[in-house]
Amino acid sequence: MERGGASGSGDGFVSPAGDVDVAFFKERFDATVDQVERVVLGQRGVIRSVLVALIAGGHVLLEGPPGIGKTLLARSLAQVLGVSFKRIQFTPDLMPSDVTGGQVFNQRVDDFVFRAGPVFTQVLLADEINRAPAKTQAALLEAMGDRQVTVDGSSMPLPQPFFTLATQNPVESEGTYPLPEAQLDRFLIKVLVDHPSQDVEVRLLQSYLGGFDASELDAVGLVEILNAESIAQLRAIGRKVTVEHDILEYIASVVGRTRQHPAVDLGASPRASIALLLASQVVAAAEGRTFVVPDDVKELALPVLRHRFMLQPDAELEGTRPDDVVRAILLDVPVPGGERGVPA
Amino acid sequence: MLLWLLACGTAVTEEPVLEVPFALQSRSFEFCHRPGAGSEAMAEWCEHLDEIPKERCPGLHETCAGAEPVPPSGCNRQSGGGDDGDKSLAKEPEKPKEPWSFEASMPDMAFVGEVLRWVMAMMVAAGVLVLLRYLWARFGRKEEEIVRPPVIEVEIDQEALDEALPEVPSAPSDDLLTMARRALDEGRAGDAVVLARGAALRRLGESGRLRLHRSRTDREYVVAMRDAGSPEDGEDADSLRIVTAMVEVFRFGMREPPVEGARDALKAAARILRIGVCLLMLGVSGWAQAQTPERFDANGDAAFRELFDQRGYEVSWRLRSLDSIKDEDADALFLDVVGTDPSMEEWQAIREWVALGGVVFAVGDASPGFPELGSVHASDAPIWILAPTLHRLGYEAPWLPGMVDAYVDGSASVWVENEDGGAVLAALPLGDGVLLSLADWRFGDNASLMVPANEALLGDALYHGQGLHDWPLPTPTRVQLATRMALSSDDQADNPLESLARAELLPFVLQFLLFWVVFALWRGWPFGALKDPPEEGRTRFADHVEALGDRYRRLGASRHAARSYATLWMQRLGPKGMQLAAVSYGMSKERAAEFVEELEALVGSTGDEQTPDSAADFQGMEELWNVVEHRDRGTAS
Repeated sequence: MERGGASGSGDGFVSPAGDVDVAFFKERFDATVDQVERVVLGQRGVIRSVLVALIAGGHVLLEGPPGIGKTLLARSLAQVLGVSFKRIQFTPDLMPSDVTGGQVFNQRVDDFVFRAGPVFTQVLLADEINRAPAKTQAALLEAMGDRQVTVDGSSMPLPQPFFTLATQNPVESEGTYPLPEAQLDRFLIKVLVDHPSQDVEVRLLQSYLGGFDASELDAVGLVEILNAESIAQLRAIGRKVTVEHDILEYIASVVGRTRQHPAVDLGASPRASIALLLASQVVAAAEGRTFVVPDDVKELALPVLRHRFMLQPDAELEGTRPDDVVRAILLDVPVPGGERGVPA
Repeated sequence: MLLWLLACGTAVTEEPVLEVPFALQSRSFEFCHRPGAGSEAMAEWCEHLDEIPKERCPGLHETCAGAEPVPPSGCNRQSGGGDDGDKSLAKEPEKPKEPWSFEASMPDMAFVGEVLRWVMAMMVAAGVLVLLRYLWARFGRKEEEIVRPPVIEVEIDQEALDEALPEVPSAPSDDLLTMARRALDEGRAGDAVVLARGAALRRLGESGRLRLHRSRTDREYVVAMRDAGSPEDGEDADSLRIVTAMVEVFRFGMREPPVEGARDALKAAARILRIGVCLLMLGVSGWAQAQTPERFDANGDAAFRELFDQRGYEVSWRLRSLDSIKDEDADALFLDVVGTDPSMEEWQAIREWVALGGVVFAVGDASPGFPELGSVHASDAPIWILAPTLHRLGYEAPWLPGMVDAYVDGSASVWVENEDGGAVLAALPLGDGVLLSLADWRFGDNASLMVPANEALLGDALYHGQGLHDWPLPTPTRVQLATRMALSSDDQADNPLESLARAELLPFVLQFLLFWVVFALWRGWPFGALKDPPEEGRTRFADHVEALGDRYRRLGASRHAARSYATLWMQRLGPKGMQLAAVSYGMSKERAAEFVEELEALVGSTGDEQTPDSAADFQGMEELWNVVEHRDRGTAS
């Protein structure tokens, strides 16, 4: 095929994902989501988004009120993925070393030894990240970006895969330290989680009546669907999904419009385009396709972009939300579709 | 009607595929292929059967041999089933089917169109009134300007999503599907599914079942159709999904779709188009005229599309008016003069376009726009003489049954002439362009192409002009067909005012508005500020009266108030005037007389008694007030 397009890691021609590969991908992906949904009821979309980000190699920022199952989601996901899990509750007095770890004097050996912080895990739940001061946030964000921790000049790599699920309450809450916009870019997606519907809540209550206890996750008997190796395998398959050139143009157009929109003060960076590309590939593979379609891009545009640009103060005061801007852009940018005019 | 619609949707026949295609090859041209079809119109051709090969028009031969006349099947079967074409020689024509047991004809759309015009006129008038009302209210009253800071709003106007979709080709849906089938036959499955997508989306968009917009994906169209709710939309959504799935494989998967999948996609698109065609025939007549069965009749125009398409031209129907012709539209224009009947403005536009380099192939009398051609008269010299070049190239003289019109006195270069020296086919250079004029208007009908010589000369004329006479035609050449049926099917105006003017509704709308103005003046002007706003003094007086009445009520002096009020009005109107006012208010004569007596009794009662508040007093005052108020209103109007 002579059309411009890309698949693979970009460092040379990589054979595109085959039908067998994506069938395997879809089967494992769906099974993982189904397992997590056994304990996290009514949030299939959130679970899907989180898993997409994980496989794409990114991190997730979850925003929502307390008590809706964010911690449970992270724990159950870690269990189904067969990886280690740790949780950090961010508080205003949390120090950077509480996150990354630090040198501690060991009297027995009469020397300083490095005590690894909770960040040395594969799935990290950073709860209420906006409650900690900027310095502590930066320590975590640096670890997320570099996938290693440097303490006293020594760099220690984090385990693979390393995936951070950060949560925050809506910014209207008092006593918070909003994440700087430049740092928000490190999260592949930002997912807004709301209270479950009444039906879901009833099912939740029924499950508790049936003996479910969120603190006793082992009793649920979640099946381990993936492991570190298979996650890497899925990641490789996702990177091989074909992306036609016009899809790349479409992604660039959508992200570029955030820099031109009158309600936007600072638009999304090229990192957003990369994030959208990687996530679209994973979504396509999750649906059993070997190629990305514009619908994949549209599906992910909101979670990928909503936290990556700054609104004009006037627009924000008038009640404009980032989601409104993204939706308006999606309604304006032409999607690639059939050939223009009549084929020769 | 239902059975006729079923006939629309179920007819799929194989087509005889000759090695050398010709314009009337499709079985949709029933006058050529179906024995007994159009027997009356084709009667004049029966004398010339020897010159029409039987394999070209087997039906005509059988018709002339005495086949029983059959009614038209009434459905557009422009192309066959889309399956792999049989590459062998043409088969013997099938035996004619039994005619339907009842008459099935096109529904009369004239009444529906008339009703729609009236409805549109009413809506336009109402819209104008609302606009005037808004303008008066908005600009007739001065409001304090509130200085507000500029607000940056994010507008998502869902209603503004209706827009021409550039990725959906502008050719008619049936043409696109035909092209899709041809592409599939040629092994271009990818192009075939893309064309099928265009055909399906265009039909769904035109029929209003889908809103096409540049930002909507194919999957969103499918979801929109499914969400529409009706079983029919659900079926079409499934069909559309089949089409778009193949397009995705080709467009984004960057690989040719499987042939079987492409074939299914074309069938799915055909299902959408068939249903769409039948719905349109029941719906708005304008759209339904785009591909009606009449275009395949002997005097239709559908064959010319095939004619030029087989020659390798890029053919399209001219759907816009002739006075808006531009270079971007086409390189050559095939003009059916009699069918389109251009106005002087349109002739002027055509002439200017030719002078700038356009090539017009006019069939019929083009002298109104090009007087250089000379006057036209009928000739009784049926023998045709070809120009030497054409004769050398092996062309035969074109002919038609009966007498033929001819041009004379022209300054054009003659290609075909008759024995009288009349220029039957002549080329007239004008500026940078050329007019090729074919005098006899009947050459613009499908039937004329039954004759191989006619098809050869008409189809190759532009080619010869380009090759032998350096006509300004690029390769490939875009040919637009301007015929009666094409222009009438989708007569788009450039702007709403032009559309309104063409609809000739302006006089009616003006009259309607004038009626409303007169009515408003008679009944009271409903716009703008109040006619007689209360002055401050009168307002104060009303307040005073209300306070006085309230005081009277508190003091228990309702009888006194009633008496005073009755005395005031009895003095003003007198008993007879009061009686008349009561009758005018709606009381019967007896009741009015009784009412006046009560008032007189009240007026005559002494004012010394202090009676407690009585509901009867208030009721009496209210009744008197109503009578007086009604009288005042009547006086004021």
